[in-house]
Amino acid sequence: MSTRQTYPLHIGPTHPAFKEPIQFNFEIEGEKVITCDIEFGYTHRAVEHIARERNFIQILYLLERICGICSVSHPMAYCLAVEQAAEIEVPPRAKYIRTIIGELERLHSHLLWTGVAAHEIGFDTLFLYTWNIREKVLDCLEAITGNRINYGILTIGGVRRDITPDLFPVLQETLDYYYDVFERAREIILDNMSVQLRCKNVGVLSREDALAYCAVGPTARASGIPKDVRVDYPVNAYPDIEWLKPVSPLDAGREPRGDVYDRMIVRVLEIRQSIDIIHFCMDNMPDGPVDIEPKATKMISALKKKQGEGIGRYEAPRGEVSHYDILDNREGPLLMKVKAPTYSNGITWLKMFNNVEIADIPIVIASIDPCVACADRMSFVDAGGRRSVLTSTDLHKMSVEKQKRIGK
Amino acid sequence: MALHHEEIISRLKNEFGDEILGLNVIERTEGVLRKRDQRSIVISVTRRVFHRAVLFLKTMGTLHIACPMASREFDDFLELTYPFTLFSGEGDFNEIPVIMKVLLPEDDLSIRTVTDILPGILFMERETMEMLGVVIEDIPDPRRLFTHSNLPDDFKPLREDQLEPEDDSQEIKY
Repeated sequence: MSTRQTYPLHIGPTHPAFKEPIQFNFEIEGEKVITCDIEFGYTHRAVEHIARERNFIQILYLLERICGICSVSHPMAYCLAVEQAAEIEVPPRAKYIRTIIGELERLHSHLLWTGVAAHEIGFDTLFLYTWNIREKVLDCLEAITGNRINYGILTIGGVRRDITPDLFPVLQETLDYYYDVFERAREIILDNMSVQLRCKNVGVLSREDALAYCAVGPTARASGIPKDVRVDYPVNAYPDIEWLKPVSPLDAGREPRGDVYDRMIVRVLEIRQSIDIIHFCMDNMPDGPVDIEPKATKMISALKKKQGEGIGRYEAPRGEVSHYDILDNREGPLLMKVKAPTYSNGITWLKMFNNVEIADIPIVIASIDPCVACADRMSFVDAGGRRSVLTSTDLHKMSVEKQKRIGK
Repeated sequence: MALHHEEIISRLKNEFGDEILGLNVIERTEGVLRKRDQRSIVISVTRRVFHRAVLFLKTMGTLHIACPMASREFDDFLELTYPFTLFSGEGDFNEIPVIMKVLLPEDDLSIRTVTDILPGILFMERETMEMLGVVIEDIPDPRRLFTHSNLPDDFKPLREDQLEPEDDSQEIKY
């Protein structure tokens, strides 16, 4: 008879370490995770169903609300899919503006993630630092689009607003600011001993597993897969950027191992890459119109005459966002199917949790930059059936205690 | 070895012949200063050879799926779309989208799982089962992915004829 004793540990569906509700069911042996199971669906809003009752333009604003952080990525993938199906050519200037907005979004998303990751390992100074410097890019987005999130700038066939000459100094000032702070931020994030102790060799996803489980975005790149839609299947201004290549931990002099630290390296280096891409777009911005049809009703009428299918693929900050749309002489798509990066990367958690300690669960969950969220419930059932509840404070305390223990 | 779409098409034709119901290439040019052609292969195969065709794709390169599985309803059958990508990882990553379609008769909505070939497709197959009512044979985890467990088993939310619950008995009881 086996003497091995395991215990169930349930985290979620709502918990401060998550940005959206999701349920994790672990089997624990001592402090180590043996198996993991995931339950989705706590925040399923049937967006694809709702979209059937919306027209082509209304759907844009529905899709912005799938995710507040990726609020340009979903409309972008949708526009690309519809434009492919309807064979619409987007004006060059609009392609560059789309790229700039997308990269500004990547900049603030990666800074946000770095802060969240720092908080998960009890490093709140870094959390406040990154969220503080993130304000600058949000201010810039507000100046260009009018909003800090949910920008409402994309439309089918182009963008709704131009980046006018008076906005270029605002953009330049933002880039100068990040050029100035990047090296200091990189040093604090990547060279810090506390970060390295908590993130190296934790939550490992091997290259083979990343390929088999179809990982995308920084999660795949950290495991040594040079996969980036901006390079593999480029749209907008990305085909013009000759020097663009997928970021790898090798760029920081580290052989990819697929641990949390590698994911951190990839995201930090992509901040610098995004600054360079925006700079390229500003220097090479073409003249001309920013859309092919500013009137929504005319665009809907034109699309109503079209039939076809299209796949829109876009590299969001978290990984590949793709939309599949079928046009069939209707005011809206006959079918709209959405795939977010967490949908692809979520299954890789099953591999990452192998032999992870309880105190490392939050940082491993956060390491794929999931769309999962808030509140405060974590229950632990011991062998005798007694039940206790670990609050977010308890979990945070465990994480800080581990930090002190290994830092000695 | 680098992949080329012509070679992929030629090998698929040689291997599956009449079992291929449709085959075309979508071409699109992207870029402003530097034009770049992009091609996607769209292939429709019979259900009989579907699993073997996916396995065959894997012999040509690394198989990946990052786009959503989609569907389209016709009078007597349902079309399932598997938007795979195939890459060699050489040079410019060399990724080629291969969108595979398969038709399922309305009176027998079943297809064999491909999780044995591509484990990462599991969530998509689970969602296809619960949303469309397609039976994925031999799937390692047949549980629902998103919908509430109190929903009736025969309620398939994304089927066109079942967009709304038919009566009060189908409402979710919490």
